Amino acid sequence: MNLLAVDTAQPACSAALHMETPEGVKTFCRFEPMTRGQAEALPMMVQEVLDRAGIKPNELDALACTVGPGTFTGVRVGIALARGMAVVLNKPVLGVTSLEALAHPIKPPHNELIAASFDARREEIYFQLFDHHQTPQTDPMIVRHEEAAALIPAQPVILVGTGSALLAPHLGTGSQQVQQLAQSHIAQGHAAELDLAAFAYPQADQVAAIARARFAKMTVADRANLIAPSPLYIRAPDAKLPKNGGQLS
Amino acid sequence: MSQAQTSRPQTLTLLGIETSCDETAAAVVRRHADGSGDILANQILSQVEDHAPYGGVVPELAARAHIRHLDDLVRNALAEARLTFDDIDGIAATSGPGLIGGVIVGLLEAKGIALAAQRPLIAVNHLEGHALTARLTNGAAFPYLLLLVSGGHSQLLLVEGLGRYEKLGGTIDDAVGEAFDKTAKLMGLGFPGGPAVEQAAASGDSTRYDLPRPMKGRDGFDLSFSGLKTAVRTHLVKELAVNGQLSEQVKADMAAAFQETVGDVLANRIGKAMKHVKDRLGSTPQLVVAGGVAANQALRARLNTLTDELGYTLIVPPPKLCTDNAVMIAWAGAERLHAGQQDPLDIAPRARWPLADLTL
Repeated sequence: MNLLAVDTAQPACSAALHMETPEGVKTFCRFEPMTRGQAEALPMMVQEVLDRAGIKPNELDALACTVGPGTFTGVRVGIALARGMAVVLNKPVLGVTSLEALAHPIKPPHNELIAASFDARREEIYFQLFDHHQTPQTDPMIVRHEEAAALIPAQPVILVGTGSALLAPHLGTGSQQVQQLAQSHIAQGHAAELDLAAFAYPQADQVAAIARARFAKMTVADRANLIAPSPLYIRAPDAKLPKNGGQLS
Repeated sequence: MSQAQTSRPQTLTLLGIETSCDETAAAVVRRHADGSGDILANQILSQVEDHAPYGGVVPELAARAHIRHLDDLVRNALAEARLTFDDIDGIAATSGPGLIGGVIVGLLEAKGIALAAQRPLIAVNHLEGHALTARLTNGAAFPYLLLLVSGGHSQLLLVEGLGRYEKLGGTIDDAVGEAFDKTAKLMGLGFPGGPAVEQAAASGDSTRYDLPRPMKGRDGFDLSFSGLKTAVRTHLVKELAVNGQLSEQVKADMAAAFQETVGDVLANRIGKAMKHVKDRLGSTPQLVVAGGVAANQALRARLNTLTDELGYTLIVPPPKLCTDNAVMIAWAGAERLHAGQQDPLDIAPRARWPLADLTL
């Protein structure tokens, strides 16, 4: 299966193509942290990974994108591009949460839990807890820092994402942030291909890996019936109803 | 913008996407070699009910609705036109000006379509869409005077050619449609305010309230409506203080006075612009009115009188094509693709994008 994945849910932008070849799956990826300009950069990254792989869009079998949580506008950039492509190609699109994508590259050395989180501002974080197999232990949610800490059982946990520094002060010993962990991994010769800075954000490469595994478990009918993903906002829009409908009274 | 290297086929069929405010829209338009055009599909989903409780458009709600519905509208537009993506020569999408969250959804969906279908992308200025509609619907020839009046825009422009717009004047504060919305909101008449005020005004006495005529008689062609809005509020606050409520008659009379005043102000400024353009060009071009406010019958009547007096021809596209739609985006895209334009996939969405900045 040739699968294209994109992510723009956090202050980063990435595209990844996983291409099936007789020699196994080849991956073509582009990743760049950025706070703005994803609407401009993402389509170019997609074109670039397709060109590097030497395939045309109509040779894609499936698409995947992150659905959030993340910045509202960023989440829509990736979803709108993927859905636009899918309307033409008539191929399934799978949505992956940005917290799953964040947790995916973490391979706990001693069966630690994984707490993936992003700063959601207003003293809150987007948070989801996983076991060492990346199986979700909670839903993705938006919670205050200390509330998230209370949801983590008293056992060793690896923190990943921009919410880690906000969460850590509320946890006892036994938690470690992924930067320290990754450094020790790299020192041990593991995961040396991973860019340390990239741990802070989801990456399309991880989204593609997750999606490929999920598609592999689906029947042809399941794939055909897949509904195009919608944004997972979690937080409601800021819109206050005017008093008395705005009418003078 | 890059110029297309290959020569374009004589007939161009464009898919258009519009998401810059509170209408989610997709359309298919065909431009013939002789410059005429046909509307093959026109799909519009209004979000007016989503925003009505707020008395105005909530940007984040609008963006959420756009992404929810745009796929279906694109599919429905192709089905209505009985075409597939193989039949489409280019994808045109509003890339500004407008509410940026919505613009991003439409532009990125269009980029995805253009990328996957390997067709040219044409980034269309929403205002140019309004400005060129009369060429599709009425075969309007350049140059013409354009009055663009909607919830977000109030401008007087001289349209000299594709991509050639000279702004003669515009509002220095609120847009006309915005003034209608705010006035309707104060009196609880409903949203959008244009039709609500027009309906209430039908049974009102416009002479009951004396409202200011901002900018009337001044030099230049600029407009202003915020002082008018304040005057409306002051009168209504007084009515409330005296009577404890706003009677239906008060509302009707105020709506009539407001509508009459807006007509006066617009007629004054447009009349002045019409004389100016007539003198400058040495001929009488057409006056084209576009934007949602063009649907107001009282305003139409004023403009009819004015154009008759000055020897102009008045062109008002059908109401469905005066309010926001994707037909105008597809059409502007067709005109630009025909002229050789196509845009790179990294073209940026723009919240602000004055027509006068456009080139070809």
